[in-house]
Amino acid sequence: MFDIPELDEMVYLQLDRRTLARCARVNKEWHRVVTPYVWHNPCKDQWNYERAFCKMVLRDYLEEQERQRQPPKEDPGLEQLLQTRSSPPLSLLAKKGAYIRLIPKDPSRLLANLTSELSYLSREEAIDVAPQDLFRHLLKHCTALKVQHLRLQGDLLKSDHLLKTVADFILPHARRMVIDRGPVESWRLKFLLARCSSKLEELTLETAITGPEDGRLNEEESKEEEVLSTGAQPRCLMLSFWGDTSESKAFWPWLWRRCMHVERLEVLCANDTVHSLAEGMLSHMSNLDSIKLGSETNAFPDEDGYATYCMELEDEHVATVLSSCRKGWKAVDLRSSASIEDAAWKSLANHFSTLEKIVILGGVSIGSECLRRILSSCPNLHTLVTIDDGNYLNDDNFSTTMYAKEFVDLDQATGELNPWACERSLKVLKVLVASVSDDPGYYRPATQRQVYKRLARFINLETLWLGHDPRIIIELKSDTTADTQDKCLQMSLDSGLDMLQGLTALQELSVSNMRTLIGWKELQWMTQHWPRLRIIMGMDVKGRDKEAAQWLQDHHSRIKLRAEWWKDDRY
Amino acid sequence: MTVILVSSDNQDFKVDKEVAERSILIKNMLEDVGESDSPIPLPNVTSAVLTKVIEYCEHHRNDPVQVPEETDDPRKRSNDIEEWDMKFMQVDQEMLFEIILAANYLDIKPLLDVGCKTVANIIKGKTPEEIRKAFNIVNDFTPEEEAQIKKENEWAEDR
Repeated sequence: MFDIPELDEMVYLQLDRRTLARCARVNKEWHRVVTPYVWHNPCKDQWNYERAFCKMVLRDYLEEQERQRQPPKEDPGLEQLLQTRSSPPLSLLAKKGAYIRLIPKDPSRLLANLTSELSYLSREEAIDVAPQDLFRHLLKHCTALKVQHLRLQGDLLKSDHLLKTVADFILPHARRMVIDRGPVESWRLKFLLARCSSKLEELTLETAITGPEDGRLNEEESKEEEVLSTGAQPRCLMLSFWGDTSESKAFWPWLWRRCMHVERLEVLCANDTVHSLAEGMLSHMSNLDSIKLGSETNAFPDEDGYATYCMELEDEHVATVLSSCRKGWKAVDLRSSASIEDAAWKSLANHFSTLEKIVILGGVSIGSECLRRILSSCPNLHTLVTIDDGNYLNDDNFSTTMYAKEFVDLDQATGELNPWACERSLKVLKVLVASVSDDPGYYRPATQRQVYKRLARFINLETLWLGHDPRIIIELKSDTTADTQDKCLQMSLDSGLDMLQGLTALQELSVSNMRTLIGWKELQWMTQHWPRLRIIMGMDVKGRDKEAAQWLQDHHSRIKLRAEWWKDDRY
Repeated sequence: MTVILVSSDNQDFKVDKEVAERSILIKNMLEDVGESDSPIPLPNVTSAVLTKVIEYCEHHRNDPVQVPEETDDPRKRSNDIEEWDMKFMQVDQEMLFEIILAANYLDIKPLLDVGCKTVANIIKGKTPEEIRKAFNIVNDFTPEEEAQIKKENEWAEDR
């Protein structure tokens, strides 16, 4: 279309398969350019696309079988022999399979669809085909797969035939792999991981692992000596539901040895293997500096899809893992099923000098004082997030708040603000500052001014959230005192907003569910002093702040009043 | 601070540096040259096209810089175009293609995105014959060839 492949690609990637197939019929030039895109991701967009695709695979397989069954003609003439030599009949998939770059990330789904197409057809004619043969037929022709995500379900791995197909044709291309819905025998898992390539970046185990340790696929697969330089060497390891350790004790040290490149670790729940993990971290994971502990839930689907629960990470578990980092933590992310008490806190505090990013969500019990110590002692901190997103919130599980007294942190002797270590490094601050005044009806000017003064010291701040995640709709309740944000900053010029005029890098402000007093004067001030501001979230655009918001839309339409969720990583 | 851009037909355009720097090509040029008032020649862009491109950059002067990321999430590569951009792209087809080529040359990723989405929207829902008409293309297939291709891609057109 443009004679510039990159531009063509940008157009074609916008189109659905049906439209692309029509484009391929426009003329020879379009056919040449568009055909790879028709096949690029044949199952995307719509469920019925996948059915049509599976139907084609079945037909293609049957045709190939038919051709192979045809007996060679007796005494073929020379001419005919030459003809068949020069153009051996190829099936459609054999011709076009190399264009297929993406398949559904869960091969079980593909297999299920192939199976159902097979059963439709077998009602009409007698055929002797197993779904796994179709599956292999398809995959053996997909020679240029680009598998970004792969989700393997335990039941798929129970079949030796399927295990081998996956290992032969999909694993070498996988970049992110999740294994779930077990249990999986540990020798099968070892077999899979040994057949991955160095492309594998992320490995998630969400399955129970059982014995035996020393199974094998079949006679050909002789048990080779373990070679660490080939196979999976992930950079990110996620242990989500990883139970049944009694039968698979030897598997874990085997896995840790493969983790020499792991930089990020996520442990969602605890079990007896935590101590083995800690040893593995110390002896093998020398690049590890980022960790997430706990999750929003400790319920995982079992083999039949029912929820099973695993053990929450207790203070002792968290402490064990946090103190087993060789390099020093740069990023620590703590979620609701992890608890932080004395031991874990002490382990965390040992890493203040290296910490750059701290996320604490989902009602992890960490007090104002701890937040103050983090902010005042981490010289490299650029991100502190303690405001929950929609994943966690319920009525009694609110975000960690930081009391104004701790946030202001006055030196008792001089009455000045104590200097904090992260004043220059901090770029993202998402924290609820509470109790700016004692009485919801009466704001204490002095405390407000001190809070502004503290905020003003973060001179490189780009994102400032003082209110709840704006995606969450909370009814402001005046009877609860802890979290209604009644006693928040007013964000008005009268209360001292102009003290924040040094925050010239500010791009994003959230005042969601705060009782602020932002009028058009304040908005005008913000647009003048914060030239990079592009989003103010959480204003009450239909009620209290209606006129001010209208003024902003009329004069500064580039500044958005709500977030664009679809650009957010989590959505 | 302003810079002067010169179109292929030798017209000068005086624009704010911030606006001109929406073009990564110009941004890099300015960084290489350092402080200088000399005009920047853009031999691949006519004044008519440059006028449009500058209009776009003016409107989007404060947008955050996009981080390129590969994604398979259909919501992220959605076809929705902002209302202003949609109006901006209501030009004749020749101009649309010129703008896309200019955006590519000047390295203005968001404009390129919007342009390509606009072209994709033109193609959507059309039959091969309608596409030929829309882009003034001659069908050079024999009927046999066309039938063969239709058969090969039957699965893809299946609903």
